[in-house]
Amino acid sequence: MRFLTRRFLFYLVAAFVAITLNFFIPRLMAGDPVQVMFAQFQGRLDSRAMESLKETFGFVQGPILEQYATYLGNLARGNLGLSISNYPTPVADLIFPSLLWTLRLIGVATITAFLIGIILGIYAAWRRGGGIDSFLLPITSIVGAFPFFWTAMFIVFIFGLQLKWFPTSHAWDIKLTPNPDWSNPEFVNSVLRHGLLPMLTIVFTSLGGWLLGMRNNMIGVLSQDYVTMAQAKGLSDRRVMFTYAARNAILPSLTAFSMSLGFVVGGALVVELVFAYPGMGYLLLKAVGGRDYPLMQAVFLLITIAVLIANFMADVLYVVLDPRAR
Amino acid sequence: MSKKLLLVCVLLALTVSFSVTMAQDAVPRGGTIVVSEGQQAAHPNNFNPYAPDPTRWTRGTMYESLTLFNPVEGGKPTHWLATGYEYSDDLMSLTYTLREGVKWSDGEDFNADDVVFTFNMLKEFPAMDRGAIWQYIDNVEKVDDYTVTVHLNQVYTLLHELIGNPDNLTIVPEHVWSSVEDPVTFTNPEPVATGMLTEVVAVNEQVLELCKNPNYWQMGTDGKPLPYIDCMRMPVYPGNDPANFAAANGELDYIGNFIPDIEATFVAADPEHHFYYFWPGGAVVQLYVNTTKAPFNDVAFRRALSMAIDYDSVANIGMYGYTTPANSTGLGPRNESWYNQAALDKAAEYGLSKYDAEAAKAALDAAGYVDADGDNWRDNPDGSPINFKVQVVNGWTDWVTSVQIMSQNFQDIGLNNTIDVLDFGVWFANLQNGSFDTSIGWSTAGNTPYDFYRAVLYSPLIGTDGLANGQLRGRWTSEEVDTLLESFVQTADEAEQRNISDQLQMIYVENVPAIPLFPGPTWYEYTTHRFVGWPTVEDYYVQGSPWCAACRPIVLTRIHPIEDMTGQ
Repeated sequence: MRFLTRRFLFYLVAAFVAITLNFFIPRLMAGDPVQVMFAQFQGRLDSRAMESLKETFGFVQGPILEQYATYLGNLARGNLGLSISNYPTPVADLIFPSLLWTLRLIGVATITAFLIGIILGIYAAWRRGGGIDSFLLPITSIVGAFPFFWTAMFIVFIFGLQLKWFPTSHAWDIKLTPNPDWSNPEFVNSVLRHGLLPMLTIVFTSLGGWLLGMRNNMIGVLSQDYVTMAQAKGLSDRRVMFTYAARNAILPSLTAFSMSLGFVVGGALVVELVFAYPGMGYLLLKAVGGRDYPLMQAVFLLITIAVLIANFMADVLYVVLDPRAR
Repeated sequence: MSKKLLLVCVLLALTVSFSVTMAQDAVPRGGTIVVSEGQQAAHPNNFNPYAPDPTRWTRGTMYESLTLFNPVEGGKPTHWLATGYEYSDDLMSLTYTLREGVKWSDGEDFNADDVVFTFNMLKEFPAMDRGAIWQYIDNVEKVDDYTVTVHLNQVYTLLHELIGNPDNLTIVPEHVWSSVEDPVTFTNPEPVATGMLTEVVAVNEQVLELCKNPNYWQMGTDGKPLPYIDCMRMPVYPGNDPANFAAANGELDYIGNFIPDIEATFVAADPEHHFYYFWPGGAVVQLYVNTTKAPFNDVAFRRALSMAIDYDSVANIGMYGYTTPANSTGLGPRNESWYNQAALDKAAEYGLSKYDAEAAKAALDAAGYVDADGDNWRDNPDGSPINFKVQVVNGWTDWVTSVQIMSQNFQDIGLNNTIDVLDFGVWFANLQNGSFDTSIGWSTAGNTPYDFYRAVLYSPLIGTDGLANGQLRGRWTSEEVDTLLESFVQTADEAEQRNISDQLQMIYVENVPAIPLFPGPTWYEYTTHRFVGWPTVEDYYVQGSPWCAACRPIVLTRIHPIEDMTGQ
């Protein structure tokens, strides 16, 4: 328990540091939002508009410590502020829909890739030199080593454009219904069809990493005395494989998994770009491009908190799985 | 003044007779046009026309302005919520006659109270006054229910244009907005407006869908309310490629995107139905030279630079052939009717804006810019070396290519220079505070030459903080120009304005404050799979670009489906 309390306090401090950096780092970038808004219009905006824009965005020009205090105060009240590039839309309104799509797509894909990768890794180590070990492992590793966007484009080209099995863009068919409507089975079907290709892309490309990591850990653990002992006692292969070996071998993979679960919130920029999927990665890219400080802060904050929470969960799991950590 | 009123009457008469004779013609109706104009992220739910960058199509087609000025026809007025406007004889007031019978989308009547309320809201909240119109206004008076008089605090005879621009002023309903506590941060989720498309069907991370106002005031040629179409849909495409793919696929009807190699990618996909016209009516892009520094403070040197640039290559390679070289007055095709032939002749006499490396070398030799230290680069007449930078924005590939061509051109005539590729923020700050040698940059285009010359030459635009606003980047100024610009907006006499414009053009040619490169192309593509009535190359009745808030309402009065799509 002392371990967990200590970890919790550590994450609390880490969160505060992150919140602070989160405020200052975006402001170190050259260019302020008023200028960037000008750039967006590429000369179409009358120079007279500059004055009214400065008036509107006066708050980003005030003393930085004062802004910091306001930021902390708002944060404490759960107020993420108003977006600058889409002023005065609240940041939360912009983030929420994207966050849900990202959690559904990237979350499901990450968990799927992890589960499949771990199970295949266990079997690959158990039957070294078998089918999984000598074929699947090198193939998934090669796919994982390809540039991500290349794999994504390839999948779009084959399944979307050539075979036309699945749609290649958007999260649902806007001609079916312009607004999401989860009570409509056709809409749900459309979401599934639209999500499949991007999900497959993520699963294919990240599978190899989990597989290889798990296999290598597994091999180390399998040579331990207690595994030989368990086998000598006549326990079933299944029992030895999962309860004795995998339980120990999974610990390093679990840390990596918790990290990647945390980063799910940040979205997957390349997948979102290739499949025109309305996720967080693209939102963050636009926020950075538009010097939209409140939006950037909110997205970074979400990522930070998600990573910290995921790490804390991993710590808890460690305690459960590994008695030495208690 | 009476001339303007006469014009209004003639136009009105024309409109009336037009609608009487055409009243019986049936026009196919219905359908949803699919639009793309570069929306790359979720559509925000923000229908406040005074937000810096509201949801697409909030201005012009949802909230309307009093008068629209058509950039294609030299700023010819199209009367909209007002049926006419007139300056008083002393030019100190501007009176609008408002259209009767206009209803808000909730059924209430539109009248002078709404107009006065909107003006006063901008006064109370300067953050909303995008066009800074209140710098010229003293107060706005309701004369009667359909007459409003704007009292000026100084003579400014282009106020009607500032007021007419939907990006500056669109009328909002008093009965809704008067109860809004802070209109600056109001997102107006349930818009009540007078425009053609007021009903919000969807505004989310993937699509914006707006449908027609049930109470719209303007009638089509079939005698029924406009628009002919039912709805517009604007999908989100993250990045140009997916949008261009959808365009080539024939999924879009009305497009305002940059498409590379458009003949091969977009037109060739379906030459029968895919069209584009990149009207070069945008602001002229120039090479700005810092005239506070040697050698750019010497007009002979600037003239030589103007002869050294391969304008055709810049237009054809840098700009993909989507535009043509500019002339030395800095004015683009949008102001074609204002061109001063004497100034153009003078420019030809100097050899300006014409690629001739030998002439440029000769001009430099004559002005004393020769290689003094034997390093094969030319030096200043005092012997100090010339080595300058040409600034450009990182990632703006058309400009970067253009700058590469020019940098090579300058090297060819013996001028040592390098390209400086900068992030936008840094680039913009450098131009504002004058820490640059030369840089490519845009200017301003308006319905009269005033907008261009004010932005590029009017010395009060350099603030007390020393920052150059507008495009006064080269910092070449003169009292004569300031006086001319001030007198331009002191008179409503067009002959007088033309005289001033002629003088300004001559000054521009004589002094080369910046080197005009090419007028900005305006992106506009359309398809005729489902809808017709678009501005075409032959009948370019208004600028086609869907992002032009003053233009798309006029387009919407004309387009209709090929076959009736009512109820589909």
